[in-house]
Amino acid sequence: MEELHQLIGRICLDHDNDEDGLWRTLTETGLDRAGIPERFGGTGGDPADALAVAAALAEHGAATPVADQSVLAGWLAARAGIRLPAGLVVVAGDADLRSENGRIHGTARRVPWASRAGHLLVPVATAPDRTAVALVRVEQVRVRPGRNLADEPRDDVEFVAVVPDESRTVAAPAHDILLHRAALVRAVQIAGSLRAVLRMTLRYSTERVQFGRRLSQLDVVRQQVALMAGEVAATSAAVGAAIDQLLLADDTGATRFAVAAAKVQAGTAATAVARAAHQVHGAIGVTREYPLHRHTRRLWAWRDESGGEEFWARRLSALVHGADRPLWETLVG
Amino acid sequence: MTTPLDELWRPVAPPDEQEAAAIRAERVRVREFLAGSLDRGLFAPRCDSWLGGFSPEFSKALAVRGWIGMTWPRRYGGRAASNLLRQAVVEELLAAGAPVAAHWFADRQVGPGLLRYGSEEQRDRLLPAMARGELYVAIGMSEPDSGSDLASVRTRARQVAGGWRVTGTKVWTSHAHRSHLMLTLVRTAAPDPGSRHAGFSQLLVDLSAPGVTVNPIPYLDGGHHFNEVVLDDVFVSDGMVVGTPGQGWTQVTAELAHERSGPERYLSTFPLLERMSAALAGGGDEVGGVLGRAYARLWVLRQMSTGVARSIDAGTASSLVTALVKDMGTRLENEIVDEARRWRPSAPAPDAPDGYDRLLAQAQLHAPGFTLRGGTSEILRGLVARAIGMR
Repeated sequence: MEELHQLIGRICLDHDNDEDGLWRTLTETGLDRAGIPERFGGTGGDPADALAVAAALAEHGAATPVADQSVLAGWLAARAGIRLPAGLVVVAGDADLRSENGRIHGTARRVPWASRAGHLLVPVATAPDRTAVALVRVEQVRVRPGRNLADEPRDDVEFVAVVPDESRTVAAPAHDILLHRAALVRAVQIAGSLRAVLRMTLRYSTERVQFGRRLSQLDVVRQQVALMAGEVAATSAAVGAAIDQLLLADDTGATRFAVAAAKVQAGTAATAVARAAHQVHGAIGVTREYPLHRHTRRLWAWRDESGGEEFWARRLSALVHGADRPLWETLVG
Repeated sequence: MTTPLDELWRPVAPPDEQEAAAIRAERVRVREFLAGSLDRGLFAPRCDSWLGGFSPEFSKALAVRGWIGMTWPRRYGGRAASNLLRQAVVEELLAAGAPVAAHWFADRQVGPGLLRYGSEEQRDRLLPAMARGELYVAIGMSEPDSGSDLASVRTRARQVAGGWRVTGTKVWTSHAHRSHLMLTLVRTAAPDPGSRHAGFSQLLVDLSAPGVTVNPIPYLDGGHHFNEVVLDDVFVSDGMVVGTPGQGWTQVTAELAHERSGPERYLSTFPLLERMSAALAGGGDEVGGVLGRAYARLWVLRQMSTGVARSIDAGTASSLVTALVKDMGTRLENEIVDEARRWRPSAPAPDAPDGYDRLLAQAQLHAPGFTLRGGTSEILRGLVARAIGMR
């Protein structure tokens, strides 16, 4: 993992402020399809590999759809037995979508990276635990571009009687599994970004001098940064444990609990760490030129995508109170 | 290139399936024992039971089942179990609010301290009695003029034939009035202006020895666990010096670092959370969100604390992470009290007939101590700032 981290660091440095070049290199190296079995168009490995790539890219402030493809579309394709075509493939799912006589209707809202994709994987629930998964060319739909707080594409995709190139049925509550996976992806990206913010804040505080002292020598600043460190460490531990659960099983109560808790932690940390980082940086931190916003805008965007803290906290309560065992036993798993 | 920051997110491998199964089985054993004890009325669940629940009978019952000193080698009465397994057992006991105060300090830090620094004779003589739940040890660190600033400790030990004569006063010494020994931080050399941390030693003081006076310091609710221990020319034999004279600071620092991140730093108010959870289940989205946040935070702290236990097993424990766990865990303990109060229409009372109100009363009255004992939150954050390179 350490080597992977360094490799991605070098790639990001080579393509600083060059999104297209970065994406090209990631596809050439196959890093965009880590964790997807080769027979479904990936480069092999497990979801932990794919998430490690996502975390490292986030830590370097890179805007890429890597995890949206590898961890979400890759999983859905493999589960459905569909081989991913070349080019970017992302999942366009929405409760509004329906299938009538093999034609897809409806609108999928705020789909990550749809405007950059060549193909969309479209899950449409046909029964509580049955999902039709369709492969659709992006030319078959209408895409209305949108963006999140970090200017990453979040596009509305309109389907009008779309006949997919390929469609398979998955015997699983794919929407719910995808929701959990997507939450974990954002939590992992948040964890990576938090590390970068802590590093930047630490560096800035030891360089900036005011009142004749470095900021890092001021007790109020030290206390703030220590609190940041706690949230960063907690988020890393949380996503690490959630990934361990995911590797054991996709859809157990323990995995759902871990993912929900990790997203609550990540969102809580994103809020606290971004606020403290800006406060320590002062005015320089709110300029376009200074790179702090490359991370804090993503933290603000990602904490709310795939469910914010309130959504997942309520889910956790429902999990605990719906279980037929004491709170403690649910917590321990 | 690794930096001190990397300690914050160093991954910890989960236990393998065999170890995980052993831990699950041990948890079931503890739960069955606790359920049986509750049925027989052997204890009433309470908050902060590792400080407030003193029961020699219960400690001995735990010892019989191998739950005291469990990480210690077998020849000293232990089970040579992993720290991870001990962590699981301690979690179960604290989550149930079981009375574990009598053996607490011996099990958590004095035993491990003797294994790190003690003599063979000390281990042979003391550890088996601790593991039987019969020998209790108090901790003598703070003094009237030394709270967070431990390096200002003034209790002096002067060398005499065959040992030391100790004079000074220790305060906030929990359960000294019913413990047998006190692990005591003393000065064995005059203060050295060039090195604040030189000249300290750790001694085991026999609390029944001539010259020892234990005076209660009533806790704010009138309860008695704190004491002032006055040592007036108390003789301590050479055999009761722990480790090397002069190395006391290093030893105490190691002790604090390792004992800081255990489950007692986030479970002190768990019995209240459980009660609150049961009372408010189905109470709507808002309270669901509040409870869910507490569950999430508790789950996260468990991951961190368990990670530390595993890293102690692997010999790679980070004092940085242990300080963070304590700061965050004790904040959560307080937040649980605040939320439990917010969602309860009635007022808490120590003698309330209802468990919720009673546990809330206990938790509120003990809450100020959570963020003080074992190093105040502010001191811990300063330690964290220094460790990550804020100079």
